[in-house]
Amino acid sequence: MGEGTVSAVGFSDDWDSDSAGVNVAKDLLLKLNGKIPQLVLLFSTIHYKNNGGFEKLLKGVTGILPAGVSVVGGTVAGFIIPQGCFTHGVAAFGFYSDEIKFSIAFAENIKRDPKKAALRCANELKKCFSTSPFKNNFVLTLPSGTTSPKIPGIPDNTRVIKSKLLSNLMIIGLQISLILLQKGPGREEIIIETLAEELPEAKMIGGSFIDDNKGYFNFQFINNKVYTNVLITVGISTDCEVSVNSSFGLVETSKKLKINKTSVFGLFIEKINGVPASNEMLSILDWPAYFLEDSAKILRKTFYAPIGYLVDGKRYISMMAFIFGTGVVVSPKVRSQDACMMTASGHQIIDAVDQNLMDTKDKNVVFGLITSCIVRLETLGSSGYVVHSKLMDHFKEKPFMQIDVVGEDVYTKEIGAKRIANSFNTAIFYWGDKK
Amino acid sequence: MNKKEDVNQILTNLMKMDDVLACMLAKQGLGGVIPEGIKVKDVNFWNLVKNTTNEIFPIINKFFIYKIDRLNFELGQYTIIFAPISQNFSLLVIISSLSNIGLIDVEIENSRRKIDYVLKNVD
Repeated sequence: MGEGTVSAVGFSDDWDSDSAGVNVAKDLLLKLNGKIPQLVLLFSTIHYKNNGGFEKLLKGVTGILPAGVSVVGGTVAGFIIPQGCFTHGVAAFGFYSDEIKFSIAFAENIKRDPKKAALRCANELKKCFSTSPFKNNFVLTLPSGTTSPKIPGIPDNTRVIKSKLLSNLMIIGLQISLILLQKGPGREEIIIETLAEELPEAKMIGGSFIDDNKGYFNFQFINNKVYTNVLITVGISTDCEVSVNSSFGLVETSKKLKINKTSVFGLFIEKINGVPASNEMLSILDWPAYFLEDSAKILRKTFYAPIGYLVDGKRYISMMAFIFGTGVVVSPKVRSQDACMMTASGHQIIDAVDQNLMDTKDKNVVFGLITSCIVRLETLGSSGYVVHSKLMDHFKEKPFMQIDVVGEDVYTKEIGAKRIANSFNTAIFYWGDKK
Repeated sequence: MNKKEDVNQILTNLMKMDDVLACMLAKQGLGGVIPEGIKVKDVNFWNLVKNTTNEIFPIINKFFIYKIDRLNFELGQYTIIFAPISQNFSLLVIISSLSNIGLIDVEIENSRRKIDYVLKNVD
């Protein structure tokens, strides 16, 4: 069972772009044992950005792979693959199969019009799925993520801007730049909701491209071209069963809040409990006021204080990204006026992996795709190797790839279409009893 | 290449991470391996770090059987991270306090594992 599918993960941690591209492709082909992949998912950290590094990386990859192999991917904060956990390097997940049909659809300008981009991809995937001889359809959705403006004189990872003038300029700038410069919030919830409406029978997971969590840049790869504002969707049509699961590992606390006023597409909270949001948030969390003077404190603490919403019995999460003046910038957008603070420990977010993998524990697994929130990566650090061990135990000799992204997507008929944060999402392909 | 050159190469690569300001393989009794290109601008601070690493080893040794994983010193501007390799060696890394420490910690761990391999296997 599954003999018609060969997949493997190649890896390189070379710092030189050319070498990294060549070596990751060579490593992949070696692991594919002579099979020529039809599709290669290529994910890189941001470190090859300078001096046309990504173009060189792709030239290296496509120069080694035989002509006609489709290569798509982009920048992520890190990845977990059979070779280990990495926040530097490039990984290539290659697939050869005569029992899976792969299709790729992409659309540009997603910041300006995410719905149009999603519709374009959905229409292309529909055509591919309709001509597929296989029964189950899956979509991996990979949008360009949120980008923040880099302000001269303000250090990287600054999370608090107290100046009212600068804060107001940032808020106005975010909205204008989204339309004119196509930089700013990704509004990816529109993408997953549109894809789900158009392809209701498919299952989906996804996640947004990012840099090293500074949020200034992200890049997308399509064959030998580099993009910055593209939605990539990968269609997988197969007779394999596809198990899609989404887990948080977060626990609701007794700290409730009412979000009274938002702006910027629901991403900027202006008032909580009827008063300016930033001070009220500190008060709810029992954090001292001096935290607002220290971006490092805010940066380290907000990861452990996600905001939770329960909408129609479904859990949604936002992360606090910035404090601008008296307001709080969150991502993804606020889902409900009624919210509560959530909490997570390292144990809980690792336990989420066990919960997620439970229903494919004894299955005849072929391969696995995983999207995991960058917050989990930042929280776990080197304890990501605990997750790696769990994945190795689960997949045994079968390949898998976890990409660390900024904001995750999931859709099944049961779960619904969700844009979430702080989550661990799997799509595990396995042969059921019938094959 | 010998052990020192291999370790130096691993440290040189770790220094290529934007937020890594300095790193070294610290050795009990002082000494160790320091790559080129240290980015810490405060020379007095860097000298203080180098001269006090030896004082960390009694603590590492006391907690070694409890699998001490990291010793972090969160200062105002800098965070100093000790990633013990053995009772005699520790990887020391200095990052900016505004860094994404979790992301860097993954590559600190990869470097720590590579150095551990070199120390155990390379002649």
